[in-house]
Amino acid sequence: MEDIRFTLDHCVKCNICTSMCPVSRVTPLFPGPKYAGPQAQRLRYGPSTDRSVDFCSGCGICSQVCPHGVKIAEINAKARHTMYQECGIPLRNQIIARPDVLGRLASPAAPVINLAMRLPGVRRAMEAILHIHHAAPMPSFSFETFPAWFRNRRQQIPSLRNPSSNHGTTSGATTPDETVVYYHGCATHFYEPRIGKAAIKVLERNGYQVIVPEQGCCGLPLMSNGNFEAARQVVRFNVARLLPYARQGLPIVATSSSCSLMLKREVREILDMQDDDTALVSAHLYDICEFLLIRLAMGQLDIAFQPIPLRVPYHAPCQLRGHGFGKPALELLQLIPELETIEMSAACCGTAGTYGYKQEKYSIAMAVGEELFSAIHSTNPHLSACDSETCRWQIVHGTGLPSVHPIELLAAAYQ
Amino acid sequence: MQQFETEILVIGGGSTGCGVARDAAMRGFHTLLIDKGDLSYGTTGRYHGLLHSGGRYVIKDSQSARECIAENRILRRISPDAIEDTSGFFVVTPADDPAYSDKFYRGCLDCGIPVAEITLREMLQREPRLNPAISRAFEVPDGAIDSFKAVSALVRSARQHGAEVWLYYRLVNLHLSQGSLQGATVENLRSGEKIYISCDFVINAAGAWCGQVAAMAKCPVTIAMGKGTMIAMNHRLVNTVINRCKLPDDGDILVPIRTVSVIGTTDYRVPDPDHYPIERWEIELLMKEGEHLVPGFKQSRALRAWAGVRPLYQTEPTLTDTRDITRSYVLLDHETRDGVRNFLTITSGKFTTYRLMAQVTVDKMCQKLKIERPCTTHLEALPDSEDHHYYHVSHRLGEFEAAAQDDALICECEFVTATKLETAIHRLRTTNLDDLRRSLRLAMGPCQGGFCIFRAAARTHESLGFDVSRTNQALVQFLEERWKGVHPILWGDQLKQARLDDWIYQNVFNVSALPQDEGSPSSAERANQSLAEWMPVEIS
Amino acid sequence: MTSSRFPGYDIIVIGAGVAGLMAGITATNLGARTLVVAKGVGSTALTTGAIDILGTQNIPPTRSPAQAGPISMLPSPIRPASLSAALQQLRQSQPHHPYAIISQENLQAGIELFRHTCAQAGLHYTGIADENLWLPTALGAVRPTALAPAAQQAGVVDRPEPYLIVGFHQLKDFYPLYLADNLNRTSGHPARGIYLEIPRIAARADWFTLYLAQLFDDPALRYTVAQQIRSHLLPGERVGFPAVLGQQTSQPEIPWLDLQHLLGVPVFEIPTVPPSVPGWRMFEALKAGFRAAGGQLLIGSQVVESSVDKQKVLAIKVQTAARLLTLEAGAFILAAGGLYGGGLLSYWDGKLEEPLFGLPVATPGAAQITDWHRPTYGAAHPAQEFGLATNAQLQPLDANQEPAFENLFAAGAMLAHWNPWHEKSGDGVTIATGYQAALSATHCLGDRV
Repeated sequence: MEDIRFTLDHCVKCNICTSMCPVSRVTPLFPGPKYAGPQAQRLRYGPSTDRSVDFCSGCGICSQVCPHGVKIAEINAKARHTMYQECGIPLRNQIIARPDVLGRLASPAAPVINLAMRLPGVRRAMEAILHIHHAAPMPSFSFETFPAWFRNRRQQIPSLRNPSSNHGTTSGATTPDETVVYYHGCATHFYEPRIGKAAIKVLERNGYQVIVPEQGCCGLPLMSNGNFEAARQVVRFNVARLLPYARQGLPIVATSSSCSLMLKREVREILDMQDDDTALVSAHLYDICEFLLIRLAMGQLDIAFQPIPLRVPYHAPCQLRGHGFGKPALELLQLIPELETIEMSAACCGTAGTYGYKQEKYSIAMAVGEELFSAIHSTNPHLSACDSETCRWQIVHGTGLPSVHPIELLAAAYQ
Repeated sequence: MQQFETEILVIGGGSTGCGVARDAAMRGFHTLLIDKGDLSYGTTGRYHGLLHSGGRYVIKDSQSARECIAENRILRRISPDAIEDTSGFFVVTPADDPAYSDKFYRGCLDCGIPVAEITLREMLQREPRLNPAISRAFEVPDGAIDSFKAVSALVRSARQHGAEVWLYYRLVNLHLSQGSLQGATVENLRSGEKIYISCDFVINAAGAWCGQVAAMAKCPVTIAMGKGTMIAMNHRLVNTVINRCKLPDDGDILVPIRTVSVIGTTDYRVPDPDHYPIERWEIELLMKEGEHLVPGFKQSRALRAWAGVRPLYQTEPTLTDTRDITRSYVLLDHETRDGVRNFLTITSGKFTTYRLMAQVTVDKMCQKLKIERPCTTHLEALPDSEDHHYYHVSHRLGEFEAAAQDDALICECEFVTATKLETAIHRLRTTNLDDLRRSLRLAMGPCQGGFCIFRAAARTHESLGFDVSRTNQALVQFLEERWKGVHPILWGDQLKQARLDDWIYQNVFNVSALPQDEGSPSSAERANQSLAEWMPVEIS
Repeated sequence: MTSSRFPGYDIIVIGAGVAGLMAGITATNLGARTLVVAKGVGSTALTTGAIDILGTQNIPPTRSPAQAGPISMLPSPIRPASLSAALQQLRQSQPHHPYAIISQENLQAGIELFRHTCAQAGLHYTGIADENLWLPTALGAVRPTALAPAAQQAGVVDRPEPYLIVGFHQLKDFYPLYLADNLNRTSGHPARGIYLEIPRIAARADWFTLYLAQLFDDPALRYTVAQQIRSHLLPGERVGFPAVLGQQTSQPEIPWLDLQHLLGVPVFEIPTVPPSVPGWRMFEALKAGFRAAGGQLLIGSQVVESSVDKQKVLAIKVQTAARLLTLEAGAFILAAGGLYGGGLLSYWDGKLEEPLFGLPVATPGAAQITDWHRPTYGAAHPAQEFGLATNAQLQPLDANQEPAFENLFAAGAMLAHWNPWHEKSGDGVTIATGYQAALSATHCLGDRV
């Protein structure tokens, strides 16, 4: 594949990307995607002279709206990487880029750490030392991790169909028609096992045997914090674990639309991982709602949903939109009687992964999210839905209301 | 008629003329340079920007090759601010005769050009887009030199040494009396005013027009005009100068210069230095040859095509292939040749050797005037080059990024800020947008002025206060001029760009409905353009 | 697994420009389950927001190079009250023109649907669509247009008031003094310009009109700006702004009306270079209309392949992050833009291509690449009229001049034989053909809808 940076040739300077950029519009610190992307790229060679590209949040909206196929966000990501190679990656970026490591360290002591994190002094200290904004929406660690729950729950079931039972654990009490592999990612692993539980419930209800292989962080936080080499390492780790299933043609389903986009596309376009193994894993990866919508089209989705008499504002995260398949959650949630799903028109919640955690970017992230927060409030002051974890945390933080993954609504409707 | 007195009159504001003016001024002569257009308006501003190592001439013209490497070293010393130290490769593609490469290598050694064969792995590592089927690659000290920037610095240096530079002054006549030039009549093309210049010596450095100038002194000089067409590609496909390792031929070089890469050139004899349209066969040839160097070249975006004419002195007027005429410079002493005592013509040559050409010209003049003043142009760095740093493509980005981006970008493609544009408008006092382009790289990027040239036009209008129809004329004139360079390469992305630009100018602005009635400049406007105010712009 | 499939649609429209969205709205209104899919945000945002139907007549010198002149020699503008007559004349002189293919009734019906859709979104259009309004451009020329957003209306040259043009130092795309100097000459009314400073905003690389427009959603800012203007305003003047008066979508005309109220004089907007705020407002209004009608919009997904049999298009395939997604429908409308929008491709060697279905590209007046453009910029260039040839149902024709597929229709800038740049007919043709294509497509679905 050609280096995506050469897509700069397609830019006609129409500025549609800049007009749609949620960040540039609220801060002059980021001059805009066209500026940082195809425009500045013509002047880049050798040592980086960039500064402002650090304020690109990486939401990817620019690439989605470009009518001419310029891979703007991807050009920016590469420029940011080059810049960090010159000036070094801040310690803060290195820490927040490793949710898996943090999770492994913190989960055993989750109650203590969660409590500590709620103490204002601790967060102020983190801001002073690490430049992580004291108000940024840090999730709580779960005492029981999702894989632990999954193992405990299915200990008695032999993993008959598990092709790689050394590494994976399998679910499915019935005789399933098919088997799927579940990539839960760090958020479900350490912070929100409830989403994994909902996913298992929905998949099993539809007759799938679910394999949960050993897995690591998808690498997106490392990549967006400028550490490409470390990101490639964790991707290679995941590819090695997932490859045996992909080789058998098993679909790999993910509940985080950010992790799945990372493993589907960013590995190839931004990290330049062009090998066949990675491509095979990418080709078998599905966002869970994408997967279920395809089943629906094939008449293979159990649509005996119970009514949920609710009005739910739904925000499709930027990363989900980046998949290019639309908003499958909207169509799935329509199947639930009495559930009224209201699509939010605001572009972005602002946090863009770890961007909003950073001291110097927190207020930008909040300003970006403002439109979404107020729209959610005026739609339903009780609950919202969104497919990506950091977006949900930001929405919870910005609205003060709980936010769920669409799969949780589907699971709830399968009573 | 106004009178003006000078010792030396130099005709031609290209690299040669400006080099001569600087050299003469540095030797203490009172010097006036005139040009009928802007600086670098002619061939100087219309070449690909190669700073020759001399490698291209080692087999065919070793004299040229030796001059090139010597001047290459001097220019790197005195003019690094205009030079990008890109290095250069000579590569053997499957289409090239492999036997040439050994001759080439020995030739470089013979001419004193540092040369090293590099591994193909290294070549591809440094230039990943080069054709993987290339079989050999040699590295030489080629570079890229921005001719606008270099000439601007030359003129500023010349002015520092007391020279005057008048642009948009057309030579009307040279006054010859008893075998000696007494002076010249020139016309200020902006005001229509004529001035008589009396001078002791005239140096004709008018490039493609030097036959016309010499004729005014009744000296027949035949110049063959070899049109060379080039295409600027939208971005730097390579960051090293890439030459085909073969005898110089059409489309055999790709030069990364500023934000673009230029594939050049063709060579075709034309009769008129003012009209030489680009032809389709040239475009096809360049696109095809580019493909030999960089696979996928034909799918890459072409930005603009242009042609320059090489002025090549001709002793035998029947030759048709201009490439066989010497590239080394020619200095004509019209005393020995035509009986005019105080008149020299310096022509041909290359940008890389402009300084040497100026030196031998002024040496010759000193000899004829029986004055001994040694040349010092190789000793003193040009303005902005004093710190001996090469230019780098990321310069403007770095500068803008470091400045907290608190200035509006007028030309977004080439990072021309409002402050820079306003400075240039006030220095140049011109509505001519092409002059601003040459001084700033305004409108030289992908959109070719689509988004910036109306901003520039409006700002000249609001800053200088000329009649609005003059501004409108300048705007439309720029659009027409730009079209000459883009219409031959309109396909793919650049065709899209043209349609968007059409949309802006023809639809959103309805530019055709702007008043453009001819108005002669008011006296206020003339005063506004007084010479004392004029200053060349430091090009960054 | 390289392809997956989502539930099918009745009609899939490829392209989310004016033509695509109008087709989507029309089809949805007719009961078809419709998807509009586009690679990115289309060209709607590039427009002036005004609807040109036909601004000049006796157009094309494209057929004869001798007639191609410099910019100042363009065809004569149509004077008021002659639009329908001019259209009638155009139908006779250019039988392949989209206006000649589509009936006057459907042109009007399409325009009415457009007006209605925009009005639903709070965006009102004025003009009777049978004569041209003459409005100032951002350089101070005047240009003809058939329907103007209400916020542009007070700029018409027919009104008697002198102009006060207000610009902002921060906005690099609008020059009130230059504009006014031209407008003085072109409108026949006195015009003068002033600069204001928008309070509390710093200079930056690009102050885009949309960013400024968002500031004008704030009543306090409008009040401050009105205060500043009042001290400059002379009795009887009307006030022209760059089109930055608000960008919120719920009631897009509020900031304009508010400023008019605060100043007590007619206020109008002048559209700026792309992307223009009026263009965005129109895009938002059309999107809202399409969504409200029940249509689905998928932006950011390029259609890269089609699946066809001899008579019919069966499905299209969209590039998603890791694989192709197959989308099936009963009928398809191709509104992917022309050589600008990317629905048609052109290459260095003179090859032209419609990449999805391999439809032939008509090149009236140009046998080879050297004929695509005239050497003079201001000329009408043959390449501006390249596109797909269709029949009256807007079915694209194959090389034998037969409909290529029975369920494929084309609309907008993809069509051949018209020149929006020179005719000033841009959105008239895109609206009308989008409307017509959806009528034909729905008709072709038969009982399915």
